[in-house]
Amino acid sequence: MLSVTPDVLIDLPWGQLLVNGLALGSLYALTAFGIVLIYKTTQVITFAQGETAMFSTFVAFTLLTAFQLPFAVAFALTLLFAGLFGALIERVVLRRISTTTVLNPVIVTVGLSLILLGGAGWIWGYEIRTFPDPVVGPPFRFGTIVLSQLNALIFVVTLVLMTILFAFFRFSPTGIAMRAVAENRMAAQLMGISIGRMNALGWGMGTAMGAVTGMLIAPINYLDPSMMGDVALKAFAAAVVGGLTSLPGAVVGGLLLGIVDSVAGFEAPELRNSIAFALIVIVLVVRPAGLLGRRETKKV
Amino acid sequence: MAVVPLLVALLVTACGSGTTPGAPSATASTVGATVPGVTGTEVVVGSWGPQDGPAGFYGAIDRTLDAYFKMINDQGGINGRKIRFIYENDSYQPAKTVAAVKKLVEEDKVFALCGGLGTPNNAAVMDYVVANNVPHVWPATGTTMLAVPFKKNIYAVQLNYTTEATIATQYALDQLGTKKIAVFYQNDAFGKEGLDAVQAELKKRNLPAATAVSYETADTNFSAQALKLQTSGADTVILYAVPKPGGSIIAEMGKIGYAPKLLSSSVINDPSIFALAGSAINGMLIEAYLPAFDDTSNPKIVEYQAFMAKYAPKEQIGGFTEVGYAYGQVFIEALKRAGKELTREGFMANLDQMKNFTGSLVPSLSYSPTDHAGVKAAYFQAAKDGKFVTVTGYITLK
Repeated sequence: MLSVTPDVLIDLPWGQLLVNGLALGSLYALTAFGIVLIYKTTQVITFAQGETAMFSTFVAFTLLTAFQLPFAVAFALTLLFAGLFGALIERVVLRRISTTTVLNPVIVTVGLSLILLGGAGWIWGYEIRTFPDPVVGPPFRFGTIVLSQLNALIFVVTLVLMTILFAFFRFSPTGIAMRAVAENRMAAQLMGISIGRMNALGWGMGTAMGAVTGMLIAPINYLDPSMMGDVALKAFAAAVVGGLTSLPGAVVGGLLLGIVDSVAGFEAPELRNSIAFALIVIVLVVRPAGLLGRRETKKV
Repeated sequence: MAVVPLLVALLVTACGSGTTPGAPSATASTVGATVPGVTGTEVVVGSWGPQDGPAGFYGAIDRTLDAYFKMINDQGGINGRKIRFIYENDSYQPAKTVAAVKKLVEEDKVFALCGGLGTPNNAAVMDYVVANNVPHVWPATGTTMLAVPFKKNIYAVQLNYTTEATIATQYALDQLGTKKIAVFYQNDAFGKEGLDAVQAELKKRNLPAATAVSYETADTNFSAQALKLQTSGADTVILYAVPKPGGSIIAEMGKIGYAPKLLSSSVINDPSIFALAGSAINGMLIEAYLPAFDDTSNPKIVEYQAFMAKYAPKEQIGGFTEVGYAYGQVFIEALKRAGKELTREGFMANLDQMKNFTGSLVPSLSYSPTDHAGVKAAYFQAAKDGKFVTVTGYITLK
């Protein structure tokens, strides 16, 4: 009478699905984290997160193949490139855009994503390339559960990056200044914090996060200009589910979406996106501010 | 306010209708003095296919076809006419295909189409191409709907997916000792035709149905599907997937230590698959209906490779450029047979008379006024250390 749980859900290989889902979710979380970081510091919702990541990954690919650099060096140089690239986008483009309507920055970032898409295709071509695996070797096995070395690396990188960033925002003066800007721009400015510098830093860090995702996902999804399309969409959803203003929310949203993606991909792959987005709608109906977001109230 | 829905309805009807009076038609080409796309010195030929996106690998087909026509033009053209070839990029998206084909037919006024790619894409424009009576030689798909029901102006060559998948199923059950099959397929008319044929063959033998695992063309991560295939307990997986998802699923199965017997449709018959799939592809059987692209003991292949070196040096020797080259051979033969007085009706009437044509890479090609199905046999190759090795002779359906 009470056994309403359908058998199909009991028979699932839950362990493996969770491992796969968390790995996928980590990548969504990293991308979503970048989106939230940029939104919190600059109040701009970027639609170019996937494409800046893709572009950075192509840069990494060039460093790895044309210049034959070791992975760690290419990784570090790409992070540096992405950081400067993001800061440059802020400094040259977004700082000059009028923010009198919310739509202006949105259109600008959408435009930016299309420019990068076409630019990458023009420079590197549209063919699908394989991206070197940063780690090679047999997978780890825990009973019947298999954890590939790449997925293990994804977990480690995500965990380390999150820890560093949480510490950065909690303890470093720059991190605290960035939070202050996010909290109250006017007050922060009056306290002598340079809004421009913080905005550029937010974009730089957010873009570098995307580059990390790109380099970790390319060995699985291959490298081509459209590689981040699906991931960016999911990451965006993860950011919204998490509450757009909450960095931990982006992580929770990303992991949740990764697990849903994994389970739905197993049970009903043709409904994978429908299920993921139905979940988002439900979350937003029940909790309009997102899972960990703050309800923004404005005095009238 | 009631006007709006009406307007929308009108627009939809207008866009959906393939038989708008202004469009070129068969009667215009036979009776009238002008034949679309034909002048005394030129004939316009069109195609479409993805140059980017998940199926972007196939872009090499149109580029090779373009190079083939350049070679023909360098040799003086056919019956005094040079070929002007226009190929459109539809990114493998049927909605874009519709726009591309309308442009080709109505603006560029192509005489014929050659090598338009993709099952969902051909399905999207089929009614339009038939209604406008534009000859389409060798659409780049193995969908049975090209030839069944019979269409006067569509000439299929590629072995159809039903026959191909049935051959794969029979071979697995009878030769490989397969006990349980799973199918990894693209969730559209292409993949479903492969799946349906596998299921039909199993049903005919009173065997349990295969586990069906699908993917969408926009999907990028296939770890869940690999797991599903593994948990099905199948000892054999048949693939109806394009190169990117096909390569990825093979790699993902390898990662979780699942090593079933693999059989694949000919659609990923290209060396590019080896980099995508990694070492897990070793041993996979893949169907082919053209001679192996690297078999230099075959004089036709020597000719193909020489052409590639001269006219398409940037493209890879492989299954995709090989078919592009073969499309050119068959189309040019049809154009030659149509003679100096080029009309669409004459072109098709002459092509209908083609019997056991062996002048192209297609081993033998025949048409009749009631049969445009093309090739009916295939053989198997096995993936081995970055190469395809021929392992059987030509097989036809039992």
